[in-house]
Amino acid sequence: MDEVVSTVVSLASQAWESLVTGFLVILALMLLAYAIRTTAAYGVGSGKAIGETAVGFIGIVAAALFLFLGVPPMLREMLEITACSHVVADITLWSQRALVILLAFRMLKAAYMAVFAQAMGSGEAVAIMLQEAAGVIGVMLILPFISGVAVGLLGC
Amino acid sequence: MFTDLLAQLTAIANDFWSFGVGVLLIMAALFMLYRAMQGTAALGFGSGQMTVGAVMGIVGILILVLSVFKVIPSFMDMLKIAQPPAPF
Repeated sequence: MDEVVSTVVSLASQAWESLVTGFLVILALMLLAYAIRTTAAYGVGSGKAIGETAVGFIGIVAAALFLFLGVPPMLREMLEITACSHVVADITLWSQRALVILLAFRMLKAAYMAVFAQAMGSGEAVAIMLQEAAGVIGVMLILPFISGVAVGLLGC
Repeated sequence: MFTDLLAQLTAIANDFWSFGVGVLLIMAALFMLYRAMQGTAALGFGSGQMTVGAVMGIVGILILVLSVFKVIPSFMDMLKIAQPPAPF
């Protein structure tokens, strides 16, 4: 079982690294696309274009920084929640790890969507990503509760 | 498996980046020309305010394009340094 777990974790780590690098590539292209859009708007005399540029750039930068600096510590925190020291301890640990892997990719997907949507002019893109983050925090809050129930029921 | 995919994505992105930079430069040049013509016409008719607007437009486009070319690469370099390892 440990071999299966380590293979899955290794595969997920490789996927994470590739997707994060891909995110950087997409981010650069989206910023360029945003710049083209803004230059076009400014060129034909839209004064609002510069303000929109500032807002859009800040949104994209916030999405990237949140993914890079906010998400990994939050997910690592989930792995540190102590598991029940019983027969179910291993299962709990594997489940926690699986959950963290799924949530990491979900946050990555949300960040991709936020950057794409923001570059195309959606003002709600970053808010949607923050909603995903709130979901992750919700799961973080539920995990100790589940551990507590396990301790109460199994007496471990 | 992922490395090959990433290499393909990077190749496509390189092409798109070159295309995008070309489009941006062409657009900036055309819009600056348009503003210059606008300013010249306004000057010919004696509208000082419109001429100032045209000159400001040219400067604005220049600042926009230059800041894009300076800001995006330096921001990407900063993010490359902060690239997080897998959190699991």
